[in-house]
Amino acid sequence: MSGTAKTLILGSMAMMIAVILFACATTQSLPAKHPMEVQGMPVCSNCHTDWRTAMDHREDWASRHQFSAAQQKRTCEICHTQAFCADCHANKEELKPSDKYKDAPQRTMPHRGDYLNQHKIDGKLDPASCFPCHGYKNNERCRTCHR
Amino acid sequence: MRALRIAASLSLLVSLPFTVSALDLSGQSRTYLQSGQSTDGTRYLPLYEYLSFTAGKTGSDAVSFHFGGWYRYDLQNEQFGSTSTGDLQYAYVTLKKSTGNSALSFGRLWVNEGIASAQLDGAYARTDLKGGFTIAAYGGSPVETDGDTRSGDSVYGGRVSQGLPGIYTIGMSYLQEKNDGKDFRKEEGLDLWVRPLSKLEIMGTSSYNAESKNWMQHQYHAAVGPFAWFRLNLNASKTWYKEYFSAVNTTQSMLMSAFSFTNIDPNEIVTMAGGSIAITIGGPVTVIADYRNYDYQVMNDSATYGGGSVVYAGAGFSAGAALHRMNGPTDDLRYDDQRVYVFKKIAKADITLDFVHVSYEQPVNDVSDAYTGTAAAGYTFSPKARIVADVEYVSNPDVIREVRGMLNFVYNFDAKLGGAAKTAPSAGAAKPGGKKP
Repeated sequence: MSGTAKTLILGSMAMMIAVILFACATTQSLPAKHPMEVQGMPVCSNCHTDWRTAMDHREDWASRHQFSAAQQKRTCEICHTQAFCADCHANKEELKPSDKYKDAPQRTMPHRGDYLNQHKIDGKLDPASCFPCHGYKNNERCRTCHR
Repeated sequence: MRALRIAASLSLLVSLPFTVSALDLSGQSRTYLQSGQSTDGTRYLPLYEYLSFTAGKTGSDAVSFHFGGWYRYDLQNEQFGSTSTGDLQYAYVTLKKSTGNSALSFGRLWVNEGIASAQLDGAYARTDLKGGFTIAAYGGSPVETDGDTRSGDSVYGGRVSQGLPGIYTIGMSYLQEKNDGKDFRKEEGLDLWVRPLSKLEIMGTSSYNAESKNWMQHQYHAAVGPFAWFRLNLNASKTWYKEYFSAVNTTQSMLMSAFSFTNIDPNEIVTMAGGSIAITIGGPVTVIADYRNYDYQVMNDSATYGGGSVVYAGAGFSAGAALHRMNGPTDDLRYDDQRVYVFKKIAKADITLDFVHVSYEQPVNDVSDAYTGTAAAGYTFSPKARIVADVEYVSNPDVIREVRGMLNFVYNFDAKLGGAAKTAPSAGAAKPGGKKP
């Protein structure tokens, strides 16, 4: 049997299994919006007692939100629209996020202050932390110096 | 122009289902007028408009259209090589089912599925299956800061996961990207979320370079509760530079030269270990201590970053202070940074003072200290409209005493088309000056 035929058969079988499993899945979708309006930084543990207690948006939330967002994105979408994420996570951006929200100093925003000089140090010591935001995206201004 | 055509086509497409029914529209306009000067002394005055909105019948079994983009026009001098420019951040249609968290999206959208954190012009679908399984698939043309054309560029992939709600989720993902018709990235991912105890959760991702058949990175995080007043965060990662940055270093166009290292060993293997402790005292006060250690295998050296912060977040008043030190292997890789801020709300007005200081161990341009002081004043006219003016004083190795300014006007809109117009934003709409949903 040729490789193409084998791939087609395996692909078709996988699709059939997926369709059957999909047809059997009757769980209720998560609500489109949080049932109660939440003001300010939400403290999930005020109401929830299950796994959602770990999603409290305390002051250290910004440094660990990436892990929850990667695993619980549907939960994030109950409160946050794409616009919220796009403030920082963009393909092309000229304004620093911290410049857009100078009236919200409690929000942890990347690159406050003189980051132009600071990035030379952070970039040498931990370039992998720059890469998710500036690797394939949002690097037009990087190129003005890094040619 | 192509982006605008896509947006227009999608708008037309999504409007079809609503020609006979009501359409909910909610969004936000943010206008920024910035004043400042570049390092060569050229004054600039750019005007930015950010527009985002959602239209459709949200909820279960719903179709909706989501749009976000910005435009800049320079009122005085050219800032970034052109008088005007902009970006279509996203413009997509989503169809959601009431069961199985099933969703199909197409247009310009973001995909976060395991190994993938990508923006693309294409389609994305996901659904829950029987037995705790979830599948997601996506494909299209990647939206990236590309040095060449988008011709022959493509990206596709997917993720399969299985889990028990509240106990664990384990996922496997794949991404393949082509640039100019040639292989650019082939990556596989393993992601994990597990909660073995009610006050302990562990999560993270391992990424694998399927082209070179080597690991790129392991990155894991553990959180220990009880969360409401105490949290211990533990972080660990290991990154193989040669594999992690391989796509931007081995392609024909050397797409991102900032990561084509000339002063770092491209074969470096870095292990990071660290964490933080956050303690909330009596509700409004939180104290955080954090520390990270970087161990460089090839360089045979290490660096540390650590410090602490105190935050007070009361009703109408908040304040914070932070102190950190970056301690690299050599003097030119060391600095101390401090930050202090206060925010006070007085009726419809509010005032912010923010000060950041960085002290470099080895002077840059004969300057060791960088200061940034900001004063901002905001006024909320209504739940829909708010204005903020700020002045920023800057002094650093590149800029000797400069004053910058910015004016920011935020307007939220919310309407029901085909029915009675609403007078106030819904729960999902943004609050001026507050957190955007």
